[in-house]
Amino acid sequence: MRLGSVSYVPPPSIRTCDPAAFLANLRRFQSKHPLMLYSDHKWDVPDMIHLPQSPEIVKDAKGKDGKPNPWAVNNLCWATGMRIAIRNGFTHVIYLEADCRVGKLHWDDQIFSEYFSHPKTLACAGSLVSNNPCNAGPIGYQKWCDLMATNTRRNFPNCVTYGWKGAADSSGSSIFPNGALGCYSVAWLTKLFDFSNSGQMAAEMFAWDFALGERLWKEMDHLAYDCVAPLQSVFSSYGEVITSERERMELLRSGKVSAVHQCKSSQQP
Amino acid sequence: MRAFAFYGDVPQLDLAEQKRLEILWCQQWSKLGFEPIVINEWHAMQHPEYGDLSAAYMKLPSVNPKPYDYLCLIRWLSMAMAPIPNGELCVMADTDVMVYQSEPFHHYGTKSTKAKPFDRLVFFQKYVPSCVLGHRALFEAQAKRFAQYVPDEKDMHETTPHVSDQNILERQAGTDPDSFVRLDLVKGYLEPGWEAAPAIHYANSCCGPAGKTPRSKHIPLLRI
Repeated sequence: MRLGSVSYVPPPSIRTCDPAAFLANLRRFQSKHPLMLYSDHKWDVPDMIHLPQSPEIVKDAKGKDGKPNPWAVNNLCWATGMRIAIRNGFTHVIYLEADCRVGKLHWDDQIFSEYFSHPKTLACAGSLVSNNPCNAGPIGYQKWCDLMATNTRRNFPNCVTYGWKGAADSSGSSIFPNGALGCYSVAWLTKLFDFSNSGQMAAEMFAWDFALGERLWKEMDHLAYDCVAPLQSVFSSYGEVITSERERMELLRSGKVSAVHQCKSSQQP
Repeated sequence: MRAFAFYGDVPQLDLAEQKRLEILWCQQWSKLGFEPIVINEWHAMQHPEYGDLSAAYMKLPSVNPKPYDYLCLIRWLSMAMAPIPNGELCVMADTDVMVYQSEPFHHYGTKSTKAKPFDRLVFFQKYVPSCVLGHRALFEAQAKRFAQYVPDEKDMHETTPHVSDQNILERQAGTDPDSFVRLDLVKGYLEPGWEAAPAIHYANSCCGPAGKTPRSKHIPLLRI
């Protein structure tokens, strides 16, 4: 068993986050296990893996429907990280995007500790997302209810839920951790994705975390709920609808979580 | 009583089928009143002697695909660090061992008293380590014993050197027969008496030739 974390550090010119603040944060709170940082920009960071080309190479990629794929660059950043994890022999990996912040010494070990203390083997864990929980039959619906019932006090966000399918549509559901900050079994990732062709996969695939959820559901059906778990040591969300950046930073500063996403500003915990 | 199974990735085995089997195992042991928990190598890594002990296991020869036999050994160390209250008895079982009656396990579990504490591991399938009752210290002692094992010319599978936890336990039964208790309560699938046994070991080697694979699909139908 070999544990580690991977993260893509974008160039300083990027507008969607502050990579210098991210690096300063990682310097302040050391990880216990190897942390592999990679970038196409020459940051002054020892051991950072230099990518020969920018992930932006796929920014004009079109999906299978012929339309531009807005997720392609992000998909390639992630797939590159997973290839690095595989090459380094990681069996389990924490993936964090550059708009994450960590708040404790050995933050990674605290996340792994929660991940491996779960009473069942997990494919992945983090801040869970369920899509269309009522569109995959009664057992899938029951599993979603059971998951929601684990947090009746609503004292931590265990599974945000979205849906867009009609009531009579039984074409399936999905459950997965928000991809910006999560913990993964590399064996499961390599079962669900072909990383030997990651460029094409990134270009054609919808957002990789959605794709993970769909592929896991296709493989395991409603048992996908037994392959994932919410982690209380991290919080990751997309958008500002459920929480604000101020609230997320407060989660980190209060010590309730070890790592948080998303922090677009230069704030430090 | 807590029941523990160990999981570690073996690339040659079907990951999804292993997971389905694990889910089935959790459901079955839970149905019989146990608290099922699946542990892994991370638990062993919390042990202060993990480095030395795991290095010793790695040195042992095996004919099976890596890391199968290593994982069979490291699980004993994981049991030593599993979430077991000190002194409390628990079961370590393979994920293909399904329980149908809980009384025998509780019966041996209540034999321990202050005057006569539980001092030996109980093996429920002779010396096959598919289902073992004990407490943390007993699993830890056995884990250390495995690490001290020195293979000799008898440790062969046909013409190839091979050592597994089961082989070591068989040898241990010969040299130190009082080091554990051997019972014959867990039966292998199709072994005489399996239909009435309190627990059944649905090993691949039994289910495969009988056409009962994938096991996760067939096991729920073999015995209610």
